[in-house]
Amino acid sequence: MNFLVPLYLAGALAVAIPIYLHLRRRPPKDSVEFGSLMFLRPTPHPPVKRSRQLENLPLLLLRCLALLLLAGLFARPFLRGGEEELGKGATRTVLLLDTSASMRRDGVWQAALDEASGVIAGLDDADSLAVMAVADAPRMLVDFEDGAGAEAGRRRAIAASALEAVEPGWGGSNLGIGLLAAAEALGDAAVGEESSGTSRVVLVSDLQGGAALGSVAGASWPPGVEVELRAVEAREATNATVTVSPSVDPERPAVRVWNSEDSERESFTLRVGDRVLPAVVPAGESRVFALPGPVPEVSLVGDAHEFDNTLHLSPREPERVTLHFLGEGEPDDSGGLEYYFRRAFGGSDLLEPVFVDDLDEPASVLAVARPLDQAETRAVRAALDKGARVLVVVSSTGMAETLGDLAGTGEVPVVEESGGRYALLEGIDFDDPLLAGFRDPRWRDFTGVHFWRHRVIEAGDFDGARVLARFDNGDPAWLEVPVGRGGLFVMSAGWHPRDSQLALSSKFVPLLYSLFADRVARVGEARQFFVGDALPLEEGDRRVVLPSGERRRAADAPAVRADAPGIYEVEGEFRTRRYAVNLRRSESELKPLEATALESLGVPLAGGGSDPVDGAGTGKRSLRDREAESNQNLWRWAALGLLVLLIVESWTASRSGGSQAIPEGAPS
Amino acid sequence: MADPPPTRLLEPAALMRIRSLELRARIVVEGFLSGIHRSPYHGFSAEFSEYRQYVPGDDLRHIDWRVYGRSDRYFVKKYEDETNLRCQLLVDGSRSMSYGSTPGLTKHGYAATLAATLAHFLSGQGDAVGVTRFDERIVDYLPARNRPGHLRRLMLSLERPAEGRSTSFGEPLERVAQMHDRRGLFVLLSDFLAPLEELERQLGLLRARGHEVLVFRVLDPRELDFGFDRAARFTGLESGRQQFIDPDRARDGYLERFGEHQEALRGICRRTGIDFVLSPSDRPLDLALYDFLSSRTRRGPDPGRARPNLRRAS
Repeated sequence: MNFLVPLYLAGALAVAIPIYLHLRRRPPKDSVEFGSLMFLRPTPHPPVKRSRQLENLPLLLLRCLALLLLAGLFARPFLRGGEEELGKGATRTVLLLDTSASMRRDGVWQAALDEASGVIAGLDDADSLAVMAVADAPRMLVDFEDGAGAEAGRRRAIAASALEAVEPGWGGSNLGIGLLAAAEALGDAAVGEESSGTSRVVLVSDLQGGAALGSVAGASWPPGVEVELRAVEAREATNATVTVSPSVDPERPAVRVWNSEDSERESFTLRVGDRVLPAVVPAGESRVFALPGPVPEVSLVGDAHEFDNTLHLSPREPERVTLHFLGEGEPDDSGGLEYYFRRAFGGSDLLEPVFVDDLDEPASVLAVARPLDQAETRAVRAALDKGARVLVVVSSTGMAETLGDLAGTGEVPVVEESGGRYALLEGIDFDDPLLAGFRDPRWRDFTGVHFWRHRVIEAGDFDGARVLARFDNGDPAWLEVPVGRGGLFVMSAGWHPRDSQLALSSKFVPLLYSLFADRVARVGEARQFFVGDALPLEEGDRRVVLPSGERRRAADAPAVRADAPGIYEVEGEFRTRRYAVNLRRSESELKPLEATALESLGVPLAGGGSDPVDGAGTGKRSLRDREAESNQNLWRWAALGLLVLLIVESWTASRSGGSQAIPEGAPS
Repeated sequence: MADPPPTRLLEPAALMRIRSLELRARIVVEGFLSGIHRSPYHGFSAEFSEYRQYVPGDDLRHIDWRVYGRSDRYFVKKYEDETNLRCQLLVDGSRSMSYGSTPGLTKHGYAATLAATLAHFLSGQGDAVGVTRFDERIVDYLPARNRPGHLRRLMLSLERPAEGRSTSFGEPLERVAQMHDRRGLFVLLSDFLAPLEELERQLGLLRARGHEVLVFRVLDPRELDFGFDRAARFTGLESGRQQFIDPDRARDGYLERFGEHQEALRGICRRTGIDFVLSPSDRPLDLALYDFLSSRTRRGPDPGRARPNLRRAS
């Protein structure tokens, strides 16, 4: 019999406790508490035997045995087989290489490659090997099967050449997923094999503190798998990084500079365009610095590790949007439609409106509020066919022909309605994407908007038309009519004071913006992303320009994953969006991870994980001892025996205790 | 006046299962009030003091119709005890009080419930009540007050366990007497399982200052009859001393000495003009409350308290 952790056998010394307790002179069995003894005189009684002797010997034996078994159980007993068994079973190894951005540090990658080559060189001829890389996600470089057929030397060459081809990326360190994938590969390889060879994962990494390990917490590991840590360390401990910080003033964005705890420097400079700002940040702290103005890039100078010192920003710039309003009257006539249209799409931080008068110029936002001639109708139809949404305001019955032409149905009857009583909107379809912005109960009250007059249009006159809102007399107020790839949004009443109060209500601007949501910039649109994120693409996006200058057609991929930091430009049909991609903040947390942190997550570390760098020195013998122990599982039998003992002990104790009377008058 | 029949709920063993002391007290008082006619306690505090203007909601019985005949206004007679009775409940908190032969029913629990009941009752009729807990010295003192929230504090104080090492009446009673200049009522709840040498002097001192004193001796039934049947090692709760006792041989001696002690206590109370009530902890609490009231009614107001120029209300 051998023990894996013989130190626990010292726990057997605890048998002294029950022996002592059984030796102790016990008080007389009947004991009564009483309020006061002032009226009592002691009764003479036979003296209690004072000699010390063991009481209740069977119970004592049971208790001692239980303690001994407990100590043995913790010491993990196993039976060691003959030495010839030791040679049996080849080792199956997964070499897991961290390729996160932090491995780009000076000297770290070379040290990692050296370590990995050492692992490959140390393999026996019978051992099999797979090589994986992990950053945000695991990537298999050399499978077990790749080398299965080849001879030992060839297998090593395949692995070595795979190592040469791999380079550190810009992703985060998701070591948890990598470890699980490696364990899974080992588990898959072991299926169908009876060999009792050991399986191990050799993790070559800088083991940075920011590594994501959440996925290994509580994960179940295939039996017999061990994880060896090969930590590579950087020469310099100092690391500072720069991240985006929220700022109230869009004209003065802010950045936050973080300095690591073990940093030896605290004075850096921020390079913003051609300006240089001093940045003093004590070790272990962070400071916010306001930038002089919107810039696409900020660099931190003075830090030992360069990989995380550049911050890309996508400052908000007003977007140029061309608008075309085909209406009657002058733009500055406050009784007309265009006056309000121009003000709704006024210039702002988001929008730089360009109003055009020529239908030859492509317009992002197109509105029609007067009868069109043939040429104009053709031009608008062409835009509709390309997918544009056109707002049609039926401001008079004279627009019947134009409406019919645009919808492609021929002239539709349009009647003026003015019953003398104002109309209100009802039955608004808030589930429609165009009006979804008003779905919230706070915004959905349209009863404050009175319509003095409107035109009666029948929805049935158009193919596939949907009524999005009606007046309270049942006439359609807003219609959506699909035409070509685009569609018409038809309003049967104008927003100007002659027709209604719509232009004066708080609903007007949101309504116009939600109608043209895909044509104009949106508030709250995310523009800062991290490496590994999928960049949001929209329908109509044509291509994506990567930071490297490479152009990709957006149609080829539904989502573009950001692989490297920098500015990504997405060119859409109507606008170009710029997304800034940066490293995750956790990638800059370089303080080495303690092996105990992995152990506490249940990762089966080889050699107790006490010295991750010296993981290889644990020796095959202890490895095989472990294996023998985990195969034999003698501790389970010990635990079973312990349970039986405890049951017998309880039973014996209750029998011997049952004779004792419950003391009378015990105080409560 | 016959004792009102106790209801089952008011039996101490059943009552003690209610955790909240405040609720226990309320049940006793309300059960008591619904069980007896109003008149027995109507008279005892009838010490007329002054008139005040009638306000809707006052009891019509208290309107003085003669004054109405004179002045054409409604006046209500106000009784002195309504505001002037200041009652201090002195509760023994020594460890011997934590004895109880019935599970869940200790002497201290009984005494605390009785004190809470009295406090609830008195405060319900507008009297000021305070609590003093003592063992060999004063452990906790709440002056007599009648204001919102005070009753709750009293209950919290009474809920504390009895942990005092020993009982002594000398110092606590002397301190209490010093602290109370204004005449009031003192209700002493204890098992009196202590030497009585100083008790007479201190109780006499209280009486001499014009206070009224009422003594409740709370004892466990086992302490009265020593009904143990098995020889055992007896441990004194206060002293921690152990003695081997054979009850059959010790009972007679115990009962004799206990009887002497009891007689001595009764003698002290008689001589100092104090009502003595023996309350075994299995006695329904409403009976104890009844004892309290009958003692007050029987004694009536002290001669020194009456004001000759004011007529006593009936």
